Amino acid sequence: MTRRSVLLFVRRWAVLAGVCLVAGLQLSQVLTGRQSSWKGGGFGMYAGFHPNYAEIWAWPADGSEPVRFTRAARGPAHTGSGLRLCTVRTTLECVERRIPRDGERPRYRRVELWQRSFDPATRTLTRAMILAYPGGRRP
Amino acid sequence: MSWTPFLPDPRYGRELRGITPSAGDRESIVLAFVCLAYVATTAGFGDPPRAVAWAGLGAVLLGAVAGRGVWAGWALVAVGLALGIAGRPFAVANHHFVLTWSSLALALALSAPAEERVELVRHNARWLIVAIMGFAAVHKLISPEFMSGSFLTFGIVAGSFGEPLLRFCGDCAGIVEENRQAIAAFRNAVPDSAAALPLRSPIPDLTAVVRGFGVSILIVEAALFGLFLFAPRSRAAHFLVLAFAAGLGIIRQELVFIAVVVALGYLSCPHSLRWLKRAYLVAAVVFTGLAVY
Repeated sequence: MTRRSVLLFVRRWAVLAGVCLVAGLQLSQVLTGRQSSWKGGGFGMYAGFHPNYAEIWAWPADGSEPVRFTRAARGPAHTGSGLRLCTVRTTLECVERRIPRDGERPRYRRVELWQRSFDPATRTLTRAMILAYPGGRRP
Repeated sequence: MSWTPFLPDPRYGRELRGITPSAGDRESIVLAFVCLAYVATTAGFGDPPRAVAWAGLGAVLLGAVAGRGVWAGWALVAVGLALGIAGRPFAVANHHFVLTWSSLALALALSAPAEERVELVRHNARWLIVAIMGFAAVHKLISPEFMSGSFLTFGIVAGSFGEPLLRFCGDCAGIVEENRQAIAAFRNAVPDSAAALPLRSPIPDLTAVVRGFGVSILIVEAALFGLFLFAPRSRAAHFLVLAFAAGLGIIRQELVFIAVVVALGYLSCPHSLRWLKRAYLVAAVVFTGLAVY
């Protein structure tokens, strides 16, 4: 095999191999429910609800009313800490890592991730909790 | 070399008979404009990666004018876009990945000896379309939300699909607006799994419409996958890309993604399909312009 033929092979197939690797990894994450199909390089747009439809609710440690974390452009407060990212990466680790803290102490005693569900027959919108911190993933 | 992709190439006749060495270099400028529009308009893209991508796009355009070094510009664009992914790989939108892979493909193809470039550009663009459409169809087939019609039905009652068509449909726009307000209020309330919000259908026989819509999406994606896999030089393959772009433009204005797909179609299209090649150029200009606007 000459150097030129090796280079030609790389130029022909390296990108496709990379695409399949990344998209395959993303697909496996989607299949295990830990990742939104919309993001992450797997080309799964429009296969299901956009992560913007998911909701992050947090109950402050001081016992006050629960708050919803929104996207900066669409809501007033509670946009910080990157907790919204957990609507894309739906894992407990994501919430644990990004929950706002005062020193070592989490600012919220409870965080929940809710996803919407829609019954096409009755055209009824409902919401279901899929993840709670502390706690874990719900079936 | 003074040349622009939007004017007829004086050496077009030569390209039809054989390969002009720098044809791949020059064709890649269409994707450069799409990239430019994306980098210039996108939000949430960290500054250092964006600066690298800007520099790369400048190098691509300068390289095309100078007649050499275009591949290095594309390599820089690929690095910039990849840096944007590296910070949060699972949260980056798919069209960002498509542009990154396309830039890398062009860097590799255009660094080849001149006589191999055009074929390598076509080859990589073709396989990118195959991969995108293949994975897109698989995602839909394994998604309960898509296969049950839940996602598409909700999209129609909430006005996410076919918005330009609503104005031609009697009271549709009013019903969709009512639904949107109800959804917003529902969403602002503290969640309760027992709470349910019934929504009105803006169109009659919604179930049949959704079924037809879902099946059509799967057929088009599977057809694009199959045509680019088995008949990438056929008129049908390239006509379908343009039809897909036009249809998507009406149903859902994902303008950057449409522009990227059109640019990939253009790069994969042989010069022998002259009218389709020109149609791709027009579509790329229109969708890129709309994305910026």
